Amino acid sequence: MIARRLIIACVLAVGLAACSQSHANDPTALATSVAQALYNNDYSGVTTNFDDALKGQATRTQVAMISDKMHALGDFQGLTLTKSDDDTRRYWFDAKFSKGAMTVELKLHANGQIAAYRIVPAS
Amino acid sequence: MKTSKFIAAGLIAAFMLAMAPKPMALADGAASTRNILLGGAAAAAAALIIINHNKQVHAKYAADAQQQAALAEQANNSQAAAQQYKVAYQHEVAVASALKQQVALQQTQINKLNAAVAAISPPGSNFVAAKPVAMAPVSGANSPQVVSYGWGTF
Repeated sequence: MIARRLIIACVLAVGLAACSQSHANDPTALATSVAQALYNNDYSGVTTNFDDALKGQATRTQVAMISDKMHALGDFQGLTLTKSDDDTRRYWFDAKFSKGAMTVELKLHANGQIAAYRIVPAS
Repeated sequence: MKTSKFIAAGLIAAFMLAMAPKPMALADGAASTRNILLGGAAAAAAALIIINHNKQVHAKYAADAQQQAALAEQANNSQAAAQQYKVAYQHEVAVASALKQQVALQQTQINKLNAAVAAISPPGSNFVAAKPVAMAPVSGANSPQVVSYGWGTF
């Protein structure tokens, strides 16, 4: 009985761990989480999945600046994948806002960490 | 009296602005960049109000002293006139000093703003980067460029 409970607990723990890492295998979810964190001006949320080089570059002021640009376009309504290149792990998204849109570009490492993340305001 | 009340109200407002708790960063990102600079700007505004007040007071005293000197001259009281001219000069020196302080304070603010701008995209950083548009509409001439913000290169 105890052994069965232990097994169930382990399965649940593994499931939870898998859920917490699910962004790593899902570029859209990863890009969306960063975009949402940028919109919320949440520095730690933005840099959570950045690689070490990117973490060293990003500053709170820069995050705040992008946040301002996003808020100027109204409410954040999510990202839509528009183009991808799995060989180079590069992905492009359309970020929709209530009063406009932006393009989000994402580049991932093989381990799922973010190698580059850029936003391009609509011209 | 009215001026003093106005200055006092301005000072109180500026200090309250400086001392007010900052809005939650997550609550409204729209004002986030402004908030970074707001505290310093409020303190500078308070200092400018004080300097400007001192300058106006000394300018008024200088004008009064000039007037007194002119009156004394008219009354052929050269000693009193000289004394009043000296007082007027001293107040004008104080006005010049206040102007110097004002310029120095404004320069400090300019330096702070320059530093803030430099912090957004420091030398060597590609946070703000010109990005060629993928599909230029016409050949020749200047190909249009857009600006991208972020970290890393593609």
